[in-house]
Amino acid sequence: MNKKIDINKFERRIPFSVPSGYFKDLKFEIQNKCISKEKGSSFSIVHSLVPTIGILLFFITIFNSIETTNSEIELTENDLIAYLENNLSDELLYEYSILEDKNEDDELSDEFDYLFEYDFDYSLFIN
Amino acid sequence: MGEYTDNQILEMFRNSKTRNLAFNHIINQNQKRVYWHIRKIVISHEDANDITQDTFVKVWNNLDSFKGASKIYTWIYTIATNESINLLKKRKKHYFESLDLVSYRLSEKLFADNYFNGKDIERKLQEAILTLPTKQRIAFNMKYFENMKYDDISEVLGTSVGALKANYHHAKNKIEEFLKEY
Repeated sequence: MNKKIDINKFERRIPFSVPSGYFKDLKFEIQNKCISKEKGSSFSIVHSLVPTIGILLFFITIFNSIETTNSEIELTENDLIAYLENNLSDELLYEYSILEDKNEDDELSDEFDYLFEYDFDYSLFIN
Repeated sequence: MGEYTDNQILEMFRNSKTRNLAFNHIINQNQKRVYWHIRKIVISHEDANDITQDTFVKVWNNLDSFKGASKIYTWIYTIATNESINLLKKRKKHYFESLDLVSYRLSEKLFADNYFNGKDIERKLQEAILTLPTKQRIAFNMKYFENMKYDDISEVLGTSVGALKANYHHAKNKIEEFLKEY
């Protein structure tokens, strides 16, 4: 069948519908969205500054603590002596003295080896 | 509320004291036609509702920088059209389909839509319209259902008036062919 169709003769109606009262609510929803976006944008400026301020505070705190530590590091000789007196154990001092003696012995033995090697006259050395 | 010209509305909007009044006027004047324009593109009420709201939020955010090179309502239509096409593109990416196939899939929604109250021939007409390429479909809807001037459609779509006229004629023939088979 070859029928002629002309859509200009159709009723030009949009065949969709919306929930009742939709357009009344839509206006308020749009207004609320715009207001909340605006509040959000001003809040977001403050919000975006928070990490920056946090980082700044962190560095200021660290800088201050380093400054304090440095001023505390300037020790006098008396401070050092007091520290050693209070903190060095007897065992540590004993170990240190053994080490010192050993070093001295090593040096002496080297000298004796030298004298033996060149047949040195000990009488001269003793006198 | 009296009628205002576009220039008056822009002036009111740029004044913080009358900004809300101007925006209310814009919503009152445009919300219905913008919604229906979007609805014809995306078919589903839920999508149309979201896009309509987003469109007016964009209007609110950008009207200050609107230069007035076109009418306010065609500018709003341009935003609405772009937002709707973006949604279809998102669907296209999601389903790995062409944009026109996404449009065709929309026809399936016609049958599932709770807010479709057309007669059988009206449903068939909508199906026929959905077989058109997206931009041609949008142009056809604006001319056929809203009887918009070609100049205004041209402002919205950025297509020449001549091309729009030829497209409309071509779309009309295609739709009538589709309906003939029905």
